[in-house]
Amino acid sequence: MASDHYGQYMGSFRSLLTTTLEPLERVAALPSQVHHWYMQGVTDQALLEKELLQLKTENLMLKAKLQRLDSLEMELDRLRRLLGTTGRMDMQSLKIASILHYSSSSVSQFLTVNKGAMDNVQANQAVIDAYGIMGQVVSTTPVTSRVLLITDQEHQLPVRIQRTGQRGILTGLGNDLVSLEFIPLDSSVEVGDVLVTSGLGGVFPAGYPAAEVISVSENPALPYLNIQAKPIADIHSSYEVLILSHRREPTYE
Amino acid sequence: MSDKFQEIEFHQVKFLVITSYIVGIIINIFSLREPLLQILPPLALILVLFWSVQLLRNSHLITAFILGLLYDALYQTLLGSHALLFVLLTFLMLRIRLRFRSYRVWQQSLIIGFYLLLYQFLFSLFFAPSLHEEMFWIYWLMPFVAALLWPLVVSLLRGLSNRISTL
Repeated sequence: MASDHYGQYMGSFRSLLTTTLEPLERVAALPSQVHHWYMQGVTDQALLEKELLQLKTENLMLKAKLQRLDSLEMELDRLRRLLGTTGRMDMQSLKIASILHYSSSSVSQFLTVNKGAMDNVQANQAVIDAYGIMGQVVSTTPVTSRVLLITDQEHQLPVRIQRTGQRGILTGLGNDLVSLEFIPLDSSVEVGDVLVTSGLGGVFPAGYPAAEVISVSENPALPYLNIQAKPIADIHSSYEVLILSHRREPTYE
Repeated sequence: MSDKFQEIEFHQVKFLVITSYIVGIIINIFSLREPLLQILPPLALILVLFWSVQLLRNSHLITAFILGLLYDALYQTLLGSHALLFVLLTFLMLRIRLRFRSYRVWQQSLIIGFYLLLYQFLFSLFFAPSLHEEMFWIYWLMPFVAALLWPLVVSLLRGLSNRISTL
């Protein structure tokens, strides 16, 4: 127990255990998969066509947005070079993975996705969905990997408040909630503030939205505000997630 | 139920024992996706307790340890913590298993409920689970569900193992 707690010595043993469990997990996932297939079979065609149209429109709008972003990115790069700061643009490669199953118990919250060590997924890679950060890969088996959600009690995520730029640590609370810690009493935090990753710590890339503040309360006995937030990512109903693998470009001299 | 005893050896019901563990784990994995289903006790533990009463030649401690490790992997907890709890409860059961065999089923249920209450108590010391609102009730109702499940497990597995061992 101590060797598991104080180091990563038991990582391979843990992944061996997880690999053993994997066929059992697949069997356990069968009922919901059958339900899913059945629902797919009975979905109305008109509904599907409507959805397709919606997605096409959305795609068009996103593409238009992306064009603007591309030019902004180049502009930013140029300005950074002019300033002489080290412009470290993270080049990220994405992998699409679909979620095999969620598990949320009172002690841990994680999900299992269908890409594993054989697809070059490694521990500590960040996982996002269409809306924001979901979590990070903690262990891999040859064909699946486990993603610890940001709502897990053992998960800490360095963030900053988008509006003010103040930095804090986002800690999971379980029950699909997170709390923002180490924000001094005199700082300005409002309900609805968006928390984005700050990129400190090197695991998560900077700038991805992580959570939205839902309550702020003050305890005069404590030096920090008590802030609760809920994750922006659609933690319980996404089917597909993206695994980011970041390799840094060499810094500009 | 308790009056007709039939000595069953491990090698006679080997497949039933292993299958029952596998099914138990599968049901627990399935229950991980539904918060309401977390009211189910760790079925592998219940089964270890059942088999340790039934098969007197083995001590079942190593089985309990291995199943505990699998539960650790399943719940993403510290490796060995579930294992320790499982081994502890199995040991408690081993101490009384000869007396336990002669109890009526409802008395056995009571003891199982008490053991699982102890399990939940130690579990909350170990892991500090986050329990609020309905999860609190689900958490502390689990021993009662375990007590209610016990007669079911006993009648099912005893029937099956009797049938298999007389084949």
